[in-house]
Order: sequence, then C-alpha cells, then structure tokens
Amino acid sequence: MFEVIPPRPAPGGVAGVGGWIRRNLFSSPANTLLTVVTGVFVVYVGLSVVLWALFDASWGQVWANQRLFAVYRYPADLLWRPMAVLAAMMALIGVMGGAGRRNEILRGLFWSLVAFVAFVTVIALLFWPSVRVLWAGVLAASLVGYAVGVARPSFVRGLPWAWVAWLFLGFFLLYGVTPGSGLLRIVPARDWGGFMLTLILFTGIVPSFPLGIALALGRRSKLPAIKYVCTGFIEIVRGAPLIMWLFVASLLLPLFLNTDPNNLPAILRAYVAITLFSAAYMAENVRGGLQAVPRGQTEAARALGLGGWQTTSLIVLPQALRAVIPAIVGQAIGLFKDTSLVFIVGLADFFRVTEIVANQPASLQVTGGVKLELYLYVALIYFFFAYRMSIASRQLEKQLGVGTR
Amino acid sequence: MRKMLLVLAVLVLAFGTAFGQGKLQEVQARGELRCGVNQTLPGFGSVDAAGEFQGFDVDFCRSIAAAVLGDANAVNFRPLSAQERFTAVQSGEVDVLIRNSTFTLSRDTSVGLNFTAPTFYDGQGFMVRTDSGINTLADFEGRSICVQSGTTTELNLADVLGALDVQFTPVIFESAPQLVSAYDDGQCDGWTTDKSGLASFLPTLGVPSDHRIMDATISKEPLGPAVLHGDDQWYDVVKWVVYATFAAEEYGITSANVDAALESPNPQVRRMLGVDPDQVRGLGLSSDALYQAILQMGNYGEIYDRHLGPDTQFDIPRGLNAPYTRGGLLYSPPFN
Repeated sequence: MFEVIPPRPAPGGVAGVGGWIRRNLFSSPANTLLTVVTGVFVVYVGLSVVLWALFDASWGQVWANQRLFAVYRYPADLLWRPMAVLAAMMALIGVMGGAGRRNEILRGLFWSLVAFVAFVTVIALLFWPSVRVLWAGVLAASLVGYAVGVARPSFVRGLPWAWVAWLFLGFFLLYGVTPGSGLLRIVPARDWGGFMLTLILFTGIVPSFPLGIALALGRRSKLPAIKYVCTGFIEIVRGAPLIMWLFVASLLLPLFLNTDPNNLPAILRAYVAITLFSAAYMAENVRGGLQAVPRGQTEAARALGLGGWQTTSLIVLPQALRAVIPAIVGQAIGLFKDTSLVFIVGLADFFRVTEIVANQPASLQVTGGVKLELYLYVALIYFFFAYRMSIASRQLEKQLGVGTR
Repeated sequence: MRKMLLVLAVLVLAFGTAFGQGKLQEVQARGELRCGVNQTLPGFGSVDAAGEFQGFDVDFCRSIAAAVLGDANAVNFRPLSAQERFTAVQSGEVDVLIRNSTFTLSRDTSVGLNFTAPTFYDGQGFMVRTDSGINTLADFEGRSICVQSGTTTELNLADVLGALDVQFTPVIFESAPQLVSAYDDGQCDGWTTDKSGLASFLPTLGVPSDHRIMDATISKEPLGPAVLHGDDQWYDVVKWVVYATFAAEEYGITSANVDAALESPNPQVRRMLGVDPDQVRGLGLSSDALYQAILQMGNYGEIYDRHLGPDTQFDIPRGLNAPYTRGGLLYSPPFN
C-alpha cells in the first residue's frame, strides 16, 4: 500500500522572494561580497543625495526663477498667451488620447502629460496666484479634449488640420499682432526662452518629417539631378555637427538672404538649422525603411496597374514608415536634448537659463553656489520627458512587432 | 570669414553714409538702442528673477540710450555669447557692444572695432588664504596655484612667474566652479583669474574672511564699449557719453544734484550739461543729452557703486577704476 503525500511547500530558500534573493545575490562567497559592497555603495550614494537635497541644498534660487525657466523674458502680463497655446496643445493631444482609447501608447502619453500639468497646477494653486487660473485652465482644456475624443472619436480625422491650425495660430498668439501696448502686442522673439523655447524648437521635428521623406525618395530617384542634390544635401548636413550649422544659420543666413540680421529673429535662424539638420537624419532613417520593403511589393503594385506615385504612396511608404517609427522616435528624443545647443547663438533655452540663474548676483550670495541644485532640477525635467518618450518608443516597437518579423 | 563680413559691413556702411544714414540717425529713427551684453557675468551683466537685465555693463547701455534717445529704457538688450559677439557688431546686429570685452590691438584692427575709453580696468590677480604667508609673487616658490585650462590666464601665469624664476606647481581645471571648490578644499595654495572674477566668487567660499585678494596684478584687461569701425560720428557719441560719466564724478555731479549743477559757474560743467549748448550739439545730439544720461543713470561712481561697490556683495576696491584725481585712470578730456 502506499499513501499520497500531500503537497508540501518548497524547502526554505528555494522559492519565493527569499529563494530569488539567495539564488541571485548570495549564491557564492564572491557573489555575497559583491552584493554587500554594491548594496552599501548604492545605499550610501542614495542616502547622501536625498539628505543633501532635503537639508543642505538651497532651492531658493530655483524656486524664485521659475518664470525664467518657463518662458525667460516673456512679459509677465502676457503669460496667458503661451498658456493658451499650451492649453490648445493639451486639448488636441487629449482628443487623440480619448479617441484612441484602445491605443495604450497615446493614452499613456496623454495621462503622463496631464499628471505633469496637474502637478504644476497644484503648485500654482498653492503658491503662484498670478498664474493660478491659467494652469487650472490648461488642466481643464486637457480633460475637455479627452472627453471630446471619447464622445466623438470621428474628430480624429480632422486632427492633422487642427495641428496645422495650432502651429500657425499658436505662432501668431505668441508673437502678437499689434505694435505698442495692449493684449495682443508684439513680443519680440528675442524675449522668448526657457522651456517654452525648448518645446518650440522641438516642434522642428514636425516639418523635418515630410522634408526627410522627400529627401529619402529623392535620393532613390533615377533622375541624376534630383538624386545628387538630395544625396549631397544629406551627406553634407550629416557631415558636420549641429553646432556648426547653428553658427552657419546664425551668421550666413542673413547674408544669403541679403537682409538685415535684425529682420530674422535668432529663433527663426536656429529653427531653420534644427529642422534641416533633423531632416537629413530623418531622410536616412526613412531610406532604411524604404530598403526594407521587398522588391516584390513594388513589382506586384506595378502588375496591378498602379502608377509610380500610387506605388510609392500607397504601397511602399506605409510599409517603410511602419518599419522606422521606433528609429524616428529615437531621433525625436535626441533632438529634444540637442535643442540645448542653441545657447551658442545667444538664445536662452531651458538649459541656458540654468547658467543665467547660476550667475545672478543673488546666486553667488549662497555659500557654495547653487549650480548643483539647478542642474539637478533641469536634469529631472529633461529626464521626465525623455524617459517618457523612450517608454512610448518601446511600447511602439512591441506593438508594431519590429524586430520579430 | 570675419574679414569677409568686415568688408561687407564696411561696404554696407559706406552706402549708408553716402545717403546720409549713419548709425546715430539710424538709432534715432528706430527709437531704440540695440546693445550687445552678457547675461552670465554677475555684477556686469545678468538677468534677474523678474527677467530684467542688471549690471555695470548693462547700465552703460542705458546711459547711452538716455543720451541718444532721452529714455534710459529704450534699450533692446541682445545677449551675446563670447563666440558671436564681434560678428554681431560687424553685421550691424547690435549698435554697441558692452560685454566685458578686452581692448586689444587685433580687435581694434583686424576685427574691425573701435573701443571707447575703458570703463573697467581689470587684470589678472591672485586669491590666497590669509594665513598662508603669501604676500608677494615670489612667495609662490614651491607652492601650487589653481588655474583654468586654455585661458589667457594660464599663459600669463607661466610667463610672469617664469620671468621671476619662481618654481610653482600649476593645478589645472576645466571649469571655474570646479576650480573654486578645489581651492576651497585646500587643494592649492593660490588661485588666479581676473580680479573681478576673484571678487565675485569670494562670497561663495566656505569662510570668505579666511581669504584675500593679493595686490599684485599681472596682466592688463581694459574692458570697454566697442562700436563698428568706420562710423566716426557714432563712435564719438558713445565715447563722450562714457567720458561724461567720468567727468560728472570728477566734478561731483550725481543724478541727485544734476539739476542744481545746471547753475554751476564751472564752464566745463556748463558745456557738458548743455547750458552752453554748442559742444553737445556738435555730437549730433540735443543739448540736454549728457544731462539726461547723468540724470537718469548717474555718474560713473554711482553706476559702479550700484553693481560692484561696497554695498554690494562684490565690494571690488576702486583701484585703477577711480578718477585720476584719486589715483585711478578715469580721465575725461575737456568738454571744450
């Protein structure tokens, strides 16, 4: 006879958390030593950073200069204008997120941005009476946009036009229309800066997208003139660092256009440089996608009687772009950080404001200076946005199955 | 490229003056002065939390605007990086550059600038601990000195101490903040850079009273406003506004008592303030131009005290930057 032994828990130290720890961290004396040393180091560094941030750091200068960080010298009484542009942007993203409820990536991006806006709104409600209403308005606009997207998903079809309208109206709202004083008075572009400028320059990725596709198609063209012009442009632009092109745009563009440099705001010059630079890299990304589309696809399209344009726009490009979306997101993340190079042409972007604040006489009165605090603050903000985009890019890769087929 | 730009700028200028359009008329027609400044040099040019430009150099922009346009606030500040500052003058992007730029021969000639009288005489100096026993340059024998790499200060240090045959150990750093904290930690016995820089970083040290700036100065760094070479009328205007701030201090005229000074019997004062109007009008300005500059922005001493004087954290001794009557180098030609 035999009796069934009831199932017993695994012996201690094999399964569960304890088992995992034993297996992975303390499996041998050498491993144990490494674990202890690393652990002590990590705890020590983490603890010192936290203790420093809480007790030794002086955050007064970071706090006092939030306006510079946000918009640089944009007039305080006109802050509603950039905030309205921001609200419209959040509302449009909200529509996208709401309409694509099943699209986790868009929705996730939207809610992260809303969380950021909500966080700032709470701070504004508590401490910044002058922009209290504005931040609450941005938060409300995002939620309204989301609700609209949920209720009327068909609105998404009009979104490309809405974004174009946003770009133009946003520019006019930021720049203003009337000289002199008043609600819509012109704010010269040299007073724009801070995080607002970083975002504006980051939108350079948008025009660089069609430009990049055109360049990539041009490079594969059979017409020598188009082919060599496009190849030449791509290779020359990629052959020099962005910082050089910023200089070229800043110093030579006014000469090429034969105009007084004051008629071309520095921001416009930097924007042109960033867009063209980004377009050249975009073109190479897209070309990679074009090469990945099997020849049979084109031949099949031709066999069905599609013309050249139709083959390209209906058969080849959709497949090519799909393959390179992760690479393009990666490029966007890079561009987001590269915008900080515009300090070289005298623009005060988010990163440059750090240097400006660190050199205020008030900052020098703080013993030890405030550079560590400022850089930590800026790093956190950059990290939040860059890392969020990076998560989205990974989700996108998974969803598209790039690399698995 | 600089040469090409210069040639172009001169051509444009030649055409401009041929049609009677000098910089002065251009600025007056525009109604604002475009002034190239620094925004990251505490005490000289910085942007405060409210977004306003502040500083010693910045105030000279305002003085010029007060004289030329009658309004010290009619300035369009253009923050410039060190790399683009001279090109900005050459291309006419700014009317005047007041950005702690050292007056040198090559900048006067091949770069194509005209410098007015220096508004600040800087020079390379040394910071040491009070208890270090270092009083003269010779005392650095066998000691170490912190210095920033790739700067003229590094070369000057080697040149000057080499000529004195002093054997010292240079400790090289990439950036100023690193250098300051290393010096503060005692990694070197002395630290060298421009004296204004020493003074502005002194308050950030752990115990500022443990340190002092030595008297020795081993280089010439005259900083002053610069305009584009070739427009003499505009150059004269900028130059004489600067001289007026010197002269006003010499004669004891401040923004507070300038109205009383209009009654002054001193013919120099009467000419400067436009009571006898011919001299100031000769500059192409209205007769009260220099009066306005002093009324709105004050004399040299007032501008200095606002940003660098004893009531500020920097408290840079006047030294060479005092009127010649008090042993300095500030000397205005007569207003005849």
